[in-house]
Amino acid sequence: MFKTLLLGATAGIGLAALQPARAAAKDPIVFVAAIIQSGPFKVTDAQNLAGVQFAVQQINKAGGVNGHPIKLDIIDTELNAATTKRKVTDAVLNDNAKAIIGASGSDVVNALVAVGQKYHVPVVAFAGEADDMTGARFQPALFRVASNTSMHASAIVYAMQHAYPQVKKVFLLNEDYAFGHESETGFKTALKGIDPSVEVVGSVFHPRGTADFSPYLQQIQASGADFVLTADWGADLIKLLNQGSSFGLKPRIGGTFLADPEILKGVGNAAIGDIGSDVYQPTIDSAENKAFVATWHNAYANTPIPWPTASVGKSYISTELAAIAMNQAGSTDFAKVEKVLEGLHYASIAGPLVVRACDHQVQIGQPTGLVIATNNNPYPFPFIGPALIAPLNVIAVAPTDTGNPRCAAAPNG
Amino acid sequence: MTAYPDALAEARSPRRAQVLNLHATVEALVTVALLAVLVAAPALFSRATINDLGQAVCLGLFAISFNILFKYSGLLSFGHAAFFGFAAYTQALLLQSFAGLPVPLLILATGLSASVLGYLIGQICVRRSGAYFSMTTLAIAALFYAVAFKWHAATGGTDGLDSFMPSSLMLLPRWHLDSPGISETYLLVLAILIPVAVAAWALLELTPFGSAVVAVKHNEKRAAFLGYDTHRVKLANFTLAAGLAGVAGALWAIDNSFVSTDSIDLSFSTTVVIIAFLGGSVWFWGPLIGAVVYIAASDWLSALTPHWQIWLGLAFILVVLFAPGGITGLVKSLWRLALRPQAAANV
Repeated sequence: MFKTLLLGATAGIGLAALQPARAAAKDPIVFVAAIIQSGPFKVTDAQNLAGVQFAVQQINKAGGVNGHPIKLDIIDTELNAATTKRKVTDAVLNDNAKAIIGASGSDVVNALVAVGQKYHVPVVAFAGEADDMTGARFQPALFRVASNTSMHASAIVYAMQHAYPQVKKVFLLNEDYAFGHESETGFKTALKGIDPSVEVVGSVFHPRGTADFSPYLQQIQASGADFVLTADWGADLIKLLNQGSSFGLKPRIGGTFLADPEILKGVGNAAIGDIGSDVYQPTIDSAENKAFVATWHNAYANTPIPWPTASVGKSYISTELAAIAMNQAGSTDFAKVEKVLEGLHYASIAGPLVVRACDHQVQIGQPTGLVIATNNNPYPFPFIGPALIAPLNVIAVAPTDTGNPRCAAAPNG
Repeated sequence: MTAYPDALAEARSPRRAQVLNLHATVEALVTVALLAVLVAAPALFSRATINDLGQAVCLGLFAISFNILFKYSGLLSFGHAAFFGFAAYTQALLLQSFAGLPVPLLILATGLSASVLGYLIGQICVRRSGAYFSMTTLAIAALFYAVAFKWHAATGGTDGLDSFMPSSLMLLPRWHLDSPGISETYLLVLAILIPVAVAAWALLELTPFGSAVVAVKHNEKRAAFLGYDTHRVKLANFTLAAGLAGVAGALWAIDNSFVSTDSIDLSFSTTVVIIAFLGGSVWFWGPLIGAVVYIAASDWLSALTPHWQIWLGLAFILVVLFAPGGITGLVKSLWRLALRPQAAANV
């Protein structure tokens, strides 16, 4: 009996050891990563690319997908939807790509979905937050790891309520385009749902690329607001935070895209006390995440991304999700992978997640956090502190509220 | 003092007429060969190449429409994407609302609506020339971009429009194209594009209208003395160019199955200038070749280096400096050089 067990164990260990070698020997399965690699927005996607590459490396180390190694095709989206569509189509036709991971820019995600729909390839999105992408305009090829606008807004409001329970008046400041408007609606809905006693004392939309925020800062000050909620991003957010600090703005700021080292390194102490949130934070207190952070830091300590970021986490989970689904399906066939993905749940680095079957929106409690001084932080500038998880039951959009006809027919998701 | 009559005599010489005829014949043959290769492409190339060619020919028609203004009227538009993008959105909305109507009819309607828009905008733009014309078109294009960017209800804003393509395209009553693949869509695009482009070529190269447009370009005052209403001639050409850009935009929407603000933004207006110059503005079909080269070069370069735009920009500068006639101009010059010894031998 002992001999049989020993033989079995030896064979098992041998097989496990052989697994990576076997993965390398088989034909690779191609994943496409749609990443901005040129132009002024290149920096935005460097973290996403690193996350996807790290995930592929880890998956291949663990034996690949059904024994096949993953080969990554990286295409430069140029942040242009038509170019993305052309290049991703070429990758699908030339390299028989089996999964598409992407992409910054909701129009670019739509382009990926057009390709995914046509050639039956799952698109796992780490960005592109417009609610209706998994709602009224739902298309089965899209599986979204990124939060939607409503969930993201709810997480910020939840964090605000916990960190600053005395806040009773908020001011909404958003960029004057579709996403800004959708975020404003999201903040208002979240406030009503989470703390109806909080009053919106002002709401302003400013042009994208605003150089001078002083008129808006004066309006905020004059409104008597205790807190500012904003979905500004990139240079606008950096300017808002810096100019707010110089102006002596008293209310703290909750920003949809504030939990990003690329933002916070440009702001310094001015951001201390502000709130950020995203699907992933390196400060999540879980064994899975701690192991991930350590492995990442070992591999990337001397790079511009020494610690995993929100973007790294989302793009890592997106790649991992596609691989897990294919492994569970035992196939790369879209119908089989879709069937597995619908309702798939596992313990990710960001916590337990489930892919809601009716709208393919990943449901996960969202980490939030206050920006704290640099003492206990990995970065040499103030960064998000210990993560407070905004629970799923607080931030989730009910299936019947998504506008997705499939969810209306399946109110339990 | 005798140089002028000598030049006149040279211009009227039978040898020159012979050479000109030869050039015209070669140009016609090259045009036919080019269009034949495009039509035969699905049988010759992979589906991925046809996918790239689909976008290239739409861009090519767009660049031809830009070049109609530049080559024939001497007007450099920095806002031509306004018509292209307007038409792309219009086509998407028409397909959403009137999926039961024949697609060629919808494309025609889109082209006509772009022409009407061109006629109205042209009333303002063509009153000026040179930098003033360019700046006016730029300002109008910026206005159109702002509308596309902000009017979320109609254009989808930054999300763009998708899911507008019906699964079955009606080509003619009782003739449908079900779930068209890459090659079918490409051939549909060509079936509209080639007749439209050939008609525009014929109008400008073979009719008195084309001669009038060129006359106004070369010497507006003289053309006015000869009795031409120069404003109306330029306006007519502007309208034609807008209509052609409209057809290109409509085909772009069909080929891509979605429309975004990329198709109307200012950088797209710049891209079309680069494409037209790269292909060569001296030959009607040059921009079409420019589009194919641009797509192939940008895909190839972007796969090699993230700094591919630098190399493309450098190539553009080199073309402008050393081959101002673009690729086709360069080929034309080489062809003439090759003919010269033969012509000398014939004397």
